[in-house]
Amino acid sequence: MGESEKDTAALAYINRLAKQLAPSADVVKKNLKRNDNVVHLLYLKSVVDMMQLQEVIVKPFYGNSAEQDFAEYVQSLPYETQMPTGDEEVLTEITKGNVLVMIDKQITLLELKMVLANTVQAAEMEPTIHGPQLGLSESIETNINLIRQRYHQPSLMIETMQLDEASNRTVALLYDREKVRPELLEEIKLRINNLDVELVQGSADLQYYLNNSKYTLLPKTLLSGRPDRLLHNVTGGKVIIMVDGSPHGIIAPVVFFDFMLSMEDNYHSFWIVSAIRLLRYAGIIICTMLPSVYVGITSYNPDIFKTELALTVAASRIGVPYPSFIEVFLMLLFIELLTEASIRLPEKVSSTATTVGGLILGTAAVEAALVSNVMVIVISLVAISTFVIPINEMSYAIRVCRFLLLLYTTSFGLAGLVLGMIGLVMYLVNLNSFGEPFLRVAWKDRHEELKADDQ
Amino acid sequence: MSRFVYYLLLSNMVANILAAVPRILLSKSSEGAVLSIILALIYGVIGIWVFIRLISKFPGKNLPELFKTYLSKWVGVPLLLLFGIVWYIAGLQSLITYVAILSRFLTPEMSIYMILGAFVAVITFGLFMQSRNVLFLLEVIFVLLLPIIVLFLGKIYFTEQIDWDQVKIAAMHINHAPSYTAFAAASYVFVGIFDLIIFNSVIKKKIVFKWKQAIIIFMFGSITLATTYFIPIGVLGFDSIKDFVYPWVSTSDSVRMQYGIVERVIFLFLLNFLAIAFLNIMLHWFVAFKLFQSTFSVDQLAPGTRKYFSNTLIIIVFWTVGVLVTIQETEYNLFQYSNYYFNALPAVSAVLFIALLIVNRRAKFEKS
Amino acid sequence: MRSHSIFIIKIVLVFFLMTGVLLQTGCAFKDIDKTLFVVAIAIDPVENNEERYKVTLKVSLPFGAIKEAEKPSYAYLSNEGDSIGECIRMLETYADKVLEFGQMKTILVHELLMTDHLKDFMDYFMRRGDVQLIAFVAGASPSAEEIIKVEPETEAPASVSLFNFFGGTGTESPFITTTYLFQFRRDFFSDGINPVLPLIETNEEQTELRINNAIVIDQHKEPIKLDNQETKYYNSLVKGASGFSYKEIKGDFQLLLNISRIKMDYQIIAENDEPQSIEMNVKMVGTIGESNQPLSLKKLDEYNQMASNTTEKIISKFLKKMQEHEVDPFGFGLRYRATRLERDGQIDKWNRAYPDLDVHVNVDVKLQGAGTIE
Repeated sequence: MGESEKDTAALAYINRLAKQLAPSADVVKKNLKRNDNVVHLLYLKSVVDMMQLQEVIVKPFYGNSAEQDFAEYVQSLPYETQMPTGDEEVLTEITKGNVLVMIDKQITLLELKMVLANTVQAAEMEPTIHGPQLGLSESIETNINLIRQRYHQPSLMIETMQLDEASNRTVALLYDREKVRPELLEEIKLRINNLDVELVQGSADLQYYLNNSKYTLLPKTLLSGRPDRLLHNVTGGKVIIMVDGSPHGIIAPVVFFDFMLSMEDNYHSFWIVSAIRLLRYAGIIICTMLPSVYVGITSYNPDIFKTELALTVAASRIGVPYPSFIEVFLMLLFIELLTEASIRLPEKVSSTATTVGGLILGTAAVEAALVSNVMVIVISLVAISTFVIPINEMSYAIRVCRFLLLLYTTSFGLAGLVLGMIGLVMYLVNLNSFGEPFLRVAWKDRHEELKADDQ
Repeated sequence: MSRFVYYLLLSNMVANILAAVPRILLSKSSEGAVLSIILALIYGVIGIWVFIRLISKFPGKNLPELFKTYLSKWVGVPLLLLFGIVWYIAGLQSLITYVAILSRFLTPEMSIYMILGAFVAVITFGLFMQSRNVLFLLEVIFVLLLPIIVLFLGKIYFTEQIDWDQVKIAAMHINHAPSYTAFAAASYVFVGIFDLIIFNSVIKKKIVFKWKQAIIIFMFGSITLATTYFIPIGVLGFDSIKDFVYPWVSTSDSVRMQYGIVERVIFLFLLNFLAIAFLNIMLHWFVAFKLFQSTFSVDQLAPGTRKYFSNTLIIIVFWTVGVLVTIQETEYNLFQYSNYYFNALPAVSAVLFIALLIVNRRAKFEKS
Repeated sequence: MRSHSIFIIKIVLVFFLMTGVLLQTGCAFKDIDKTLFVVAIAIDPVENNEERYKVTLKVSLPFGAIKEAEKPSYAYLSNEGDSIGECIRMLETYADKVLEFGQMKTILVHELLMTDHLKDFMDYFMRRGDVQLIAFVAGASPSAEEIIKVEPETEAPASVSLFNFFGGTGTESPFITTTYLFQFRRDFFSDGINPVLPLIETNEEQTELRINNAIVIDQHKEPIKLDNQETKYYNSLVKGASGFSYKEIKGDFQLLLNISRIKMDYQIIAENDEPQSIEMNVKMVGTIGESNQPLSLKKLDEYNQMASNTTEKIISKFLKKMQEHEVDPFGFGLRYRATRLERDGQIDKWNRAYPDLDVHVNVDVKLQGAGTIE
């Protein structure tokens, strides 16, 4: 008597769940019957792997000799997920690809999901020549698997959390328990738990929400799709935040120098790496300062040039109708447009666009005396050196800084250039990423020297 | 000793190569400048030793905190105000000198308001930075620029531009009695260390000052002063050095880098020193700002609109006075007032020492 | 609240910057194509009037395609006035663009003005602030204007011949004296040394510049002209210029030496601050460059001896001449002051003693070979 009542209660429960999912076309509620045994299944067929379902549940159910208890078999399956409390949560699990299995009164959730995006992609955002060529996939399980496979340490912790928004995404925190700073971990968890957003689609927007300041020029976290970069940072005591459905991990905290590091650096010998780094820093300095230097020198202090150069520059500007800063602004704008356009265009067209834009327009502009040819050299140099910066976000930030610096130099001359540059450095120094100063000169083993970090 | 303490010291030393100190020293070149420099070196190192001894008892505490704990309000607040003004003037003096140099050599046609304007935004931003970030900034800029400055000074030392006979003539004037003005000006290069009265709050480790540190500081001081004083004489000549208003700018213009990207070193020199001088102005004003904040108990206010407006008010006063004085000042006035200011400094440092001594006494008394 | 106001402040700041940029049209902002680069200045006296000067500026004109231009092109502006400043002020109204003095690297002064007038010139150039202190100062004969207008046949576009002569930029010869403006001023105003300026001359067709003489200048005296031998010795002894040929003659035996290294030092011997004599040691190292008789490497010592003796004689004669004229291009007086504590009347004592001082010159020539043939 009591038995059957419970039975009906459980049935009612499953029916209720089914009703809540009901209008969807892909809801499947199935009863498997053999002799007296009844198994109720509830799942969404669009996210469940049918083959697996067949193999794991349907076949054994009909194939088993009657004496064996099917309920026990189901419970022993490795696919089981923990049963959450509350209807909402159970429904969420079902939408993720879990199969609700009810045998008599016993309810189990089995994770038989099918993810179509778990292929590992080539690391296109940060390519290297010598390093591993493959990046992450869009499935978090695959990603965690990738990371685990490269870092066989029991101290590597993986904590999963559930985001409270429309997609109910799984977020995983990866860190090395022995190296991470506990306060940092707390801070990150707090920020993730306090997120108040509607929908998170991937790492990039989660990163934006985590920064929790609206007007910031520089990213305070770093996105990377390279397992080797993620692990490099894990060993440095940082925390990786991975979002299901995104082929990138978020690294937090970051400092300025992380943005100047290419993974290639780990695969070369010391002197080569030093030379390349020097080149990279030269690049970043050139691409921020060169347009401003051009304006500052040609329009305020032509006496800095050697005489020959001054004459050459003056000659190349003959007939150019605009003052130097408008010339630079126009050309910078032009080059930014070109860069933007070639990102949006399909690969085959984009090379044509760059050729037309860069070569033909550039030459024509000089021929028509709209810009000076020294200017074209300057701008091309700037454009090329922007691409030397290994991390995309940094090069975006630098491109904005360049304009600000140009403004300051145009107003105040070379003194403005120096002061503006210091201003930029000040801004960088004053930033902090999860309590870590963004830019500082870090000599080794001097951490205890200035223990004011928590102030 | 924390490297940040050295940075504080160095920023003032390097910045003053270009500012008012060399002119005052060189104006006394035949009236005992050499002996004054030697005395100032000794005085400077001893002064730093005394100061560090007094302040190192309280790691992590700055002067306003100490005054609040150990001195009565009627003594502490006026003293803080006094120091605030002294530090403010220190920054202002560098600022005026720099604005004058820029408007004379770099952008002669630009109006003085424009030149000042270039400073306003950046310095104001600097005043609102956290103390520890100011120190980091100092380090970053030093790492970037000191090599260039050292290279430049090295270049001057080893070129034919210097007539060493002129330098020797200057040194042969050692037999004149020292002048107080020259002494005060020369000892000003050591003043950077006193910025610790605020930055001590972020230096949590006890500062050690032993023979090693004393020798390092002595070396820094003597190199700075020797460079400041003797190099312009070697390049511009002993007999006519007094005619120059900005002896170091003229000296840097006399250096030629035939194979450099820029042949005239003066621009590299001016721009590099501009950065260092900027740091110096910012440091001094940062200290002054903090001192004023505690004088008027702004730092006690809860963060909010009121605090925000009080801070803004201080900044506005800073700049109003700054702009007014900069526009009023002539080169001669500046020279005169700098003289008075330097002359008063040893007395101010004595007041600081006495106040710190009392603080030390009380602290000891309280402990026992 | 707070971050909001900071944001507003930032907006206001950017706004001010923008307006700053837009207001930039008039004042300090000046494009490079709106400036004229003055590369040299020539100062001449006006005939029959001691107090008036004639100033000529050499302005380098940029060309559209420098590589294709055959000759550099210059414009010359000149004007007369009571002072240089006045002339230049007027000259600014003669040209449509701003005259930029930051590139001016040569200052030519007429021979006749090489006296007290120099003080006024220097005062002006120093005061300006934008004139390089590493500009070259030179005397010009027959007149500065003629020299500045010479456009030598060897001159390439966008490079100024007058610069290449000096400071080891282009040609390097021991006959060319290089004097920078700061150096000239320093020596001019110092007691115990006299500045030496190169003298620039030209040929009759005015197609080349010739710089192989020099002038010693004294504030209170007429300038003393050095012939090219003296100029050469001055440059090699004081400036260490080398790589030139010293002619050594003994009877009808002639040697021409290529000296690669030359070093001079001297001491001033004094008793009780009373200068007694000057001991000068000169060391020369080099090879034989030309000879009118067959040479033997075994006899190198002999040649050394011969060369030393002749050089000693030449230098002694040169110094004697300087003493007779009471000028001191070597800076002996400076050394005298530099080696003893300062006293009142020190320099007077030196000036009294200098003309009659004994000078002992000791030359040590070390020949390392005889060139590529024996």
